[in-house]
Amino acid sequence: MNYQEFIDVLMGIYNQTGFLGLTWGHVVMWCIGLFFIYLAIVKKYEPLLLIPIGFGIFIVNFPLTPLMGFSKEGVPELLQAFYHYGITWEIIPCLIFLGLGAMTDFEPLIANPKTLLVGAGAQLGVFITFIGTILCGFTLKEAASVGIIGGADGPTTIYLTQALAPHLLGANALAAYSYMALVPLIQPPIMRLLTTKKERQIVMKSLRKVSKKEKIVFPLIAVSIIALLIPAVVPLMGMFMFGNLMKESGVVDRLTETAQGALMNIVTILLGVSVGATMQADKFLNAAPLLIFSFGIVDFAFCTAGGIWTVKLMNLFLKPGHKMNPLIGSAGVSAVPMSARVSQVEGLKYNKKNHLLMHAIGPNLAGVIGTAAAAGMFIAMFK
Amino acid sequence: MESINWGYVFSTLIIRFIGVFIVLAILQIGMSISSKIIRRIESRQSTNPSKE
Repeated sequence: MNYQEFIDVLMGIYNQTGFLGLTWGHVVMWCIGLFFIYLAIVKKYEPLLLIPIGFGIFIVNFPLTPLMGFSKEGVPELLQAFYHYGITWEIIPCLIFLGLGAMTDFEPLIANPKTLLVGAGAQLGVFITFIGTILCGFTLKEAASVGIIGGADGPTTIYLTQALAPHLLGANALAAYSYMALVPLIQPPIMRLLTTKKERQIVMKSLRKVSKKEKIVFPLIAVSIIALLIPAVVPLMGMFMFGNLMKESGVVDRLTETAQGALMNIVTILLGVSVGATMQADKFLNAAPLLIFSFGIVDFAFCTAGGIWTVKLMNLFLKPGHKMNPLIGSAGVSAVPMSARVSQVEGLKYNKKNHLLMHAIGPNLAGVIGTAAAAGMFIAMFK
Repeated sequence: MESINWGYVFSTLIIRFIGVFIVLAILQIGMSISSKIIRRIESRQSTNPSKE
């Protein structure tokens, strides 16, 4: 080998490395990915999702990595395969709902079904944000997918975004999970602003005991009504109620354990990494994600306010002794069980013996159903 | 960029927001009725335990 051949070989090796393709955009995306990994590890913000998402962002932003493209034969590369079969086919959000259903105890909602209306009121921000995003130049479908962020339900956000505006998937999912983690910071000032001290001290009547039969019948009733009224969200709600039926039946413990454990963990990993992998520098670095993050916080604020206003409105019609503490209204924004915990913490500040957690779980679960209902309304609007 | 019919946007949003309330209100009614039926059956069973 002469000197020129030696140099050619070295240059060939150099050209096959990622250094040549590196841009400032990649470096910015590494910082974004590392920032979310930092939030997950150091601040413990939604670590189960932000670590896979952060790592997905980080790893996919190295040049020439065979992760999100297709081979010459048209075979999807690793993360592209996860994304294609898991998210484009809308399988992963539905499987996550299956696991969530298998983990959820609907007793507080069954014991106090009127809290379902709080879950509906807490969708206010979803619709207000829709208008705001259109004013900023987003299309109707994009606006709907951004609006749903305020519902604080990751799988529903992903499901709707994939259906209406898949190019916004990364930013929407990241905004939804980031703000869900920030619920303890975002909600309390709004809760205090919209309620009086007297309202915050309302002690709610203890919840009645719910029988096993009621718990078994609930998923069947719920899925029947949802399937008849908003069939578009039955893939999500059907799986949610199926998981819950398995749990409450008590006769398929092996299936329930798999749904709430191993299966849930597997799909969470695949979901996080594939969502992160959609955020490649050339597609992500523009004004849209910044606008989405800005609208996301406004959305959350209005959804929180919507839940609180709904409770206050309902209190006008409820008899004394049956009134609800408006602090549980903020839990209408899904984010289970974080927002219910926020209601509990805020309630204890004004009455040391006022434990609102179980009361707030009702609107919390209603928020999951309400967000899915809002998503169904949007899907029906465009399809 | 698509042209926006604001009348359509506002009216459809209001209708759909009310729609979410209606869906959850119907669910609430369904849950209340089924709970009442189940509780009535259970209370009957507890007051008249079947003889073996």
